[in-house]
Amino acid sequence: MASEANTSPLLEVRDLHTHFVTRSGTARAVDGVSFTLNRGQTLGIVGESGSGKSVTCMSIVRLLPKTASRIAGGQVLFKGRDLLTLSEDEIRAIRGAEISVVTQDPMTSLNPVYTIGNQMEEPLRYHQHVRSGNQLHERVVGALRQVGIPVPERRVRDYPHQLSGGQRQRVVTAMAIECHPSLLIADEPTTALDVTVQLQILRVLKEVQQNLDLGMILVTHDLSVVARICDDVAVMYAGRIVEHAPITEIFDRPRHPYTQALMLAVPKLNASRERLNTIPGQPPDVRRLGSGCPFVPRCPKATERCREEYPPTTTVGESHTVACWEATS
Amino acid sequence: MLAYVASRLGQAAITILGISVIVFALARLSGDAGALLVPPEATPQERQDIRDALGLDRPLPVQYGIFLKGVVTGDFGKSFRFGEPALEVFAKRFPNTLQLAAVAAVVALLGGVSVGVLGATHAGGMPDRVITIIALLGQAVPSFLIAIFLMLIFSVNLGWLPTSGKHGTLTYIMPAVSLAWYSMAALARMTRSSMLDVMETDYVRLARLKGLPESRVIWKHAFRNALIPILTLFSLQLIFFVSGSVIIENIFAWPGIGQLTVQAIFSRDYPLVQTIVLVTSSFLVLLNVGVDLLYAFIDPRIRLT
Amino acid sequence: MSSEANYWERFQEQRIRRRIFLRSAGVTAVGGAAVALVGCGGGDSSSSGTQAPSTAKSGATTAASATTATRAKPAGNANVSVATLQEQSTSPFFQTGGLSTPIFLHAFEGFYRIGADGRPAPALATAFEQADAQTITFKLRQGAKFWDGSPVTADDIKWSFDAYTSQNPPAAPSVVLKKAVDSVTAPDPATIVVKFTRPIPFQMEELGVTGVPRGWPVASRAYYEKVGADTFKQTPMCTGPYQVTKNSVGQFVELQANENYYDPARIPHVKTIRLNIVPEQQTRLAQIKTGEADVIEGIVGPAADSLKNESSVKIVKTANTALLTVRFFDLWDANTNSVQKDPRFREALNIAVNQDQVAKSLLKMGNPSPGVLIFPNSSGFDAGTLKPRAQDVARAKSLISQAGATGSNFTLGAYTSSSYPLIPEIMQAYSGFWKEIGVNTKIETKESGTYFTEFQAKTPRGLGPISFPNFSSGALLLVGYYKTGAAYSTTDYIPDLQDVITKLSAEFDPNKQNELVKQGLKIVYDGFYMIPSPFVDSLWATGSKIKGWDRIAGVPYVNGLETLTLSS
Repeated sequence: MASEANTSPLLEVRDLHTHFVTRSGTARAVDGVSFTLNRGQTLGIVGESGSGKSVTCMSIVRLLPKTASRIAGGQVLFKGRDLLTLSEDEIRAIRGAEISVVTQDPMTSLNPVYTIGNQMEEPLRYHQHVRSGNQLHERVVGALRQVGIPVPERRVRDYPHQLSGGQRQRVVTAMAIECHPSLLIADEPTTALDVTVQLQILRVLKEVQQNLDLGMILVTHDLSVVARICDDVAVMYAGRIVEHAPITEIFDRPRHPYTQALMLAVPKLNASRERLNTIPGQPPDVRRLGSGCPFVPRCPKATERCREEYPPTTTVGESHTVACWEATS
Repeated sequence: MLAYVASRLGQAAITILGISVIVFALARLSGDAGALLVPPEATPQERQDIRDALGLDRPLPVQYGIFLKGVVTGDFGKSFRFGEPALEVFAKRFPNTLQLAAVAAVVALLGGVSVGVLGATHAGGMPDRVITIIALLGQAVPSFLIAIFLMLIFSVNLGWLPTSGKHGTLTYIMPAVSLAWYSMAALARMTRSSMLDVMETDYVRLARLKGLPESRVIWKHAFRNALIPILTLFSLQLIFFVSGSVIIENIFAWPGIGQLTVQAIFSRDYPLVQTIVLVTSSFLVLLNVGVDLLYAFIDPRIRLT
Repeated sequence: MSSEANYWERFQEQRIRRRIFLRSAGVTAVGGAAVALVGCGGGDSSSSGTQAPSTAKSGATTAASATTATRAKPAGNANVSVATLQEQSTSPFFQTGGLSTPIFLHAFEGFYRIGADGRPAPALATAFEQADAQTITFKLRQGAKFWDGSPVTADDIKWSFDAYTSQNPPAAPSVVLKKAVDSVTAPDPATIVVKFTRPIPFQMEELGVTGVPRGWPVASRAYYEKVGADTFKQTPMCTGPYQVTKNSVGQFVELQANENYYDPARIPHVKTIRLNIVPEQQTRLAQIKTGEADVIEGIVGPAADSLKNESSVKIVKTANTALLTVRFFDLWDANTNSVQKDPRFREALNIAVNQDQVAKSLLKMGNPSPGVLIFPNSSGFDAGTLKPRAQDVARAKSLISQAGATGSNFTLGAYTSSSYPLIPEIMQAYSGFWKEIGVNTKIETKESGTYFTEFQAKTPRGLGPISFPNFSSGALLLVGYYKTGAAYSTTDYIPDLQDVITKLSAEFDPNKQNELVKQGLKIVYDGFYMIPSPFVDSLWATGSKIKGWDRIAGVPYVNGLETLTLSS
């Protein structure tokens, strides 16, 4: 019974490095990220924009801008296969089938010139080779029903602009799960939505994740979102995971000064998302990182050592790791 | 949708009527058909006789009324120069112009779009740079120069193609390419930039995230969205395929309306000028209505508003 | 008689376009000369380099010549590229006398045709008699046949008159003919009597169209009645040395040698000829190089240079096919006291210009003209009297100051013509010549149709040019272009001249007519009523396939294809 498939994690990212080549230098957008994710588990990746959280996700499915970016090192083991070594065709067969992505802005994520049905049928045709019109219709309607779209039979004939933002995000979600993936990446799924709709979508995601026993990565800059549905949280700063812990652990005992700052900045549910920016100072330019901790300029507890040497990742509790001199000393 | 079609057709009808007034007035504004038709040694009385015989002695509004009444019944009058029904003179040549325009339009559209898409999908790369240079040349070098160069290369030097005339498939090549040249370059540039915009959109990213093959992403998801500005430009260029043929037809001795139009205008052959302008512009106006309806087909947001 | 107005504007735009191209291609501004394209080389046997016997001349005056018995049957084919055939009418009854003339000259005939010297030569009639001012009797040629071999009868000729004059809309020349002719009768099968409604002093030349100086185009009635009007229009049945066998709209007219032609000397050598319509000069040049064309028209200076390296291509010329004169428009106003009425002023403007310079450096062809509308091959032309004047700036200056016209200002019209190249450029040069003697001119270039319309209405003032293609009858020139009220006259109120013209119109003796023409022209010459510009030539190129070709003197259209011979 105890086969390796069951014991080995669904996804294991090891020492991932992704670089962006720009005129003014190479940006280490992802700089040695490692984490694991099991089936049925939800990992939240939290950070400010530019922290590398989205790039990490796009590196997993290898959809980065072709000309400017390069995965410089590491491994992305999905069900034991290193995705980084696959051919274009092989990775394409995994995208949308085994690993799906729910994108950020539902208003612009759907193609305006095709019906919902048309767009939802595509993954089924390409990945599962469903050809029969009836079968396609059944599957699409089923997926829409699963995400709580009322009267889905009618919606399939609609065009995106005929749906509300929340409905569209449900459609995007439905499209992501209709091929029964085992890993779902939700990249800021609620950022563009009204607060009330945010809650609905989060609920849908949670339900879907539980019903299908998915591994899920939720990328967000909003800790309150994480609090609602995640099992674990990875906090990213300047391309690295600075703290990684189970949800209760991180809210009860945040160890990294950046995490602590984020906690303070968590908005009340009805407050503006902009509150995150109240952490004093600006995120660093990832093209110009020195050898020390990049959070130093904004860190109230920074020491000389922090400036000179990047802190090692240390275990500070059960499944709780942190990269900070202050936390380890 | 029906209201949309009806309103576009209504606008088209008004446009065409406006054109008829303008062309009628403009043709008569300078120069007198009688003066240009009559043998110069004719006496004043003889000149008057000829004017009378052509109906030019009547007041202008009366002449316009007669013209309009004729148009409604399909009678465009007889050409002064050709002595035959103007519509017939025109109809003998217009199909040739249309054939050439259609081939050129297809060449421009297929050539321009594929080159533009190639440029967009390889943005910044070598093919893109080559294409950009060619597109710039295409818009900078006048089509008649292209025509002459083509003729010098392929007819005079290589002897592969006949210089001119309309006899067989081979004779379409140089006129169509010359006529398509400018539009092809413009369409390539428009396609490239329009595609680049669309390729950046979230829905194209999502299409990739869905694991669709790149060709599907480009042609289904990106291209159709990039098509509206391309079509807009193309519909503007349609006029050029007919009007631009004046020069190209001349160079390649193509038996279309190009030469005829110029002859008719210079000789103040009123019935013929009126026929050419009215029929051609009606054709183009309707073509544009067609393109507008095509927008609605391509983009449901237009259809449903 | 060719109608200048028709002739002019038709080439207009090709000309402009060609010019733009030549300029942008960096050739030279002389691209404009493209239009002399319609020129031709006729009597100039030395330059045409033809080997064909001067059959045209003999054939023109007598019927059969014995030497032609050994002549081979027509064979082979040739492609002739022309810039346009305008309305491309192959109906003998719808001929406007313009740029479709190449069809007419080869296919259609009346009583007389245009001979090699440009003057009338017998065709379906062998002679005519004018018993009184309003009656002309033609003696019909016996044995003349239509292309299908059926004989030409007096009835065909009568029927053709009716058909020609009842077209709707009419070809403009037929309107004039119809009004002038009272009746056409055939007292016997060999005679046609034409009675007129008014005196006809110029042996019916005044009523002709291009190619038919006396009479009207004649076609077969039986054939017309058999095939119907529509077929007839495309492939008629007439009598010229070439038969029209195909008319493809906008593309070509195909001619087939008429082996039944009554004058064996004019039976064509080349069996099939295509007149291909190729408007663009560059394309015609390409065609002569590729061999797609054997004869092309409309060679201009720079283009002729481009053919110099082609060993197989020959350039042939017809001299004096067109003329430009600058006119004093103020003379139209009988009541003005414009200085233009002062002969010293007119003389000054005449002798201020340097025609040699214009011919050599601007036109790159042509010869100085006397400043009178007449051609060297026209009847009544007297080379002794009408000498081109040399430039004399000093005298011009002093005349201007005597006339009190120093510092005077005039507008100077200009337009682009098909028959005469570079008019705006020449006017620019003239403006410079006149500035030198103290007369200021401001050039106003107009679209040709507008320019001609205004010219006919006689509304412009100041100065302006007017161009004419070659015209072989001096008498008709005087009556048609010098008479008060004539469409293109600027000599309306010159009493001496009008007296001569009145006398000329009442004179029926051709010799006395010529004397009067000389008198009239001398008045114009001595009175400096026109400012001269050089006579220009027309140039053609022939390919390696062509051995010889004779052309009619002065005619700018493709002609004389029956004399075309092929290299064996």
